[in-house]
Amino acid sequence: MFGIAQGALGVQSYEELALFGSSFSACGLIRKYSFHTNDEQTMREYTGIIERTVRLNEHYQHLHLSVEGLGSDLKPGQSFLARRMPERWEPYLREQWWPVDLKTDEVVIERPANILYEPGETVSLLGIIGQPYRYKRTLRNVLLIAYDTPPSPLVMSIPLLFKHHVSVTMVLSGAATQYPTNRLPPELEVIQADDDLGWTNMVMTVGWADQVFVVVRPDDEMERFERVWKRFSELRAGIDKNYLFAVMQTALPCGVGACLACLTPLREGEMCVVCTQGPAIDMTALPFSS
Amino acid sequence: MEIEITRRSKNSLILANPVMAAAGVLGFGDAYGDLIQLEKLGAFITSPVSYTPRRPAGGARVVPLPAGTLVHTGLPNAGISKVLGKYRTLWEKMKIPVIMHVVGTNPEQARKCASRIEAEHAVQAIELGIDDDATPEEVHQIVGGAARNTEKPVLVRLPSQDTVVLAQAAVDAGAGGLVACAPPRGTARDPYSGKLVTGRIYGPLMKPMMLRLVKQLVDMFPEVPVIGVGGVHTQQDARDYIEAGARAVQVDSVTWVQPKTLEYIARDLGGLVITREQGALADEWHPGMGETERKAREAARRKLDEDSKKTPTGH
Repeated sequence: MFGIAQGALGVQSYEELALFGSSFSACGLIRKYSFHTNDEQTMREYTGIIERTVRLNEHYQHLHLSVEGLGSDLKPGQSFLARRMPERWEPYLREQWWPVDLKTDEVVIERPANILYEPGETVSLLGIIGQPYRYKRTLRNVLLIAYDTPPSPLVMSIPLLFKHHVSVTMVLSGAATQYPTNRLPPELEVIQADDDLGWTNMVMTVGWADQVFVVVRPDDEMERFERVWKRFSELRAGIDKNYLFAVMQTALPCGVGACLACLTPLREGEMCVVCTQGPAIDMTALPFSS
Repeated sequence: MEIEITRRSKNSLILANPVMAAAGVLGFGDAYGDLIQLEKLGAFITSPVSYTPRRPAGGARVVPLPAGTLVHTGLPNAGISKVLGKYRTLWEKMKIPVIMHVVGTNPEQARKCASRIEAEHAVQAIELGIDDDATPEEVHQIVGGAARNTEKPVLVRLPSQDTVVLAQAAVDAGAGGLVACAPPRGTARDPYSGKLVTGRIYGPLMKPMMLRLVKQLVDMFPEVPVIGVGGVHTQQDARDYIEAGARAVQVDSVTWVQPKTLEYIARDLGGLVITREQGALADEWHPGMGETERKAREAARRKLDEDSKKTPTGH
């Protein structure tokens, strides 16, 4: 593990909740030009079997996969690179599959409803991809924002946060408003925002949150994250480290930090390999022009 | 098995296996350790390295294609000094030769990189990646500049256009071997942003194109070893390159899709695939072997049960 000692950042309270593991590396906190950090976590290939498919609405479905040997290694923020078996070359590269729920030997994946999956189908899963989300120890309130994209990368964290008595609010903006919220925990406050990421009481919501995790449509992630950054800069006097996180959904050909197709530039010439150090990048480290 | 993949000289590079991963596929050697036994390959080729640092490309870098993909990374790397500083120890510990892929954009950079590598014990050879737009004169200068500054063999990875002409220039300038070829460049529309993106194309369709070029080069330069690369997805693909005259084979994007395929091809061409029925060694790997062993154990148990039922009792 490319480790940063506790307190090395001068911010003692910014630690992970013990539940989510002990790693302490993420993009935006790394001080060196590094390509690979994920030494403790073993990458392996799992075989998953689709046990059942559940259609949520006309846009989304859930795949219940039985995955032998997965255990409880999977944490919120982590994902798989999946490939349907038997081998076919369409799509060619593995797809990033975001888990939204984890049970014993079963993981629930969220996928678009227009793709046909059959129960009994076998899937090769390469994982586990990425680092878990890092939460402050003093965390009380978390804001999750899905901007023109389904909130799938954020959903798995919700029950775990509630279990730790953390209040969670989710903002859905643009295309994200199509997301079916009836299956989410009833304690979750869901705000339907307008297409330009505006909602009533924005100042209060942003001020209330101790940490914010944002997913955006992956067509031009940096441009959209910059829009979010500007919006938050208008609403807050200053944005500290470990407050606002960009959850990247960059295309990942290899998932292990080899191909460098997901290498993202940070401030001061630093680099971040999204597949091994992401998906969450502290927005204070991103090189926005503003 | 001994395969000489460079022209005969006092520093020829001899491999125990003809299969390698292409440059940029395995990173710098620390990424795929959990999934692939690198020591089963013939050599390790690093991600592209330049003399000075290079930043990643902006915008969309991966575009899905029918049965393939387009990738445009911009060859990001921290520069040869930092890369050597970070990975030297890892490469020294590797049980297979390390070939450093050098971005051959201009003669001066190629010359400086070659001088730097000459002093490195961790690196056994150079693979010089020639720019797609290079002229034969530029290729001659770049390859000549590198070859004059190192005694280590210099392999030259050729572009897929004007390949034969550029190969002649490379051979004349002292190329130790030819790698045919770099993935061709193409332009495709990114489905997310709607923008046109230019990059290198990967996929099974590359094989017939590259196989033809390999055959042409082998016929034209019988004294120069040729390494085939492009579209290898099965062991038969790799064997086709060998049959066309390639001395060795590089495997590219299938490694990202199905990492074990690389090792499988290497074991197959290295003569290492031994099935259980033929007396597999305990440490030998084969796709499905775990399942085979489980089935074999179950079959043995069933047979034992049946035998015990057949055994007459009470007499």
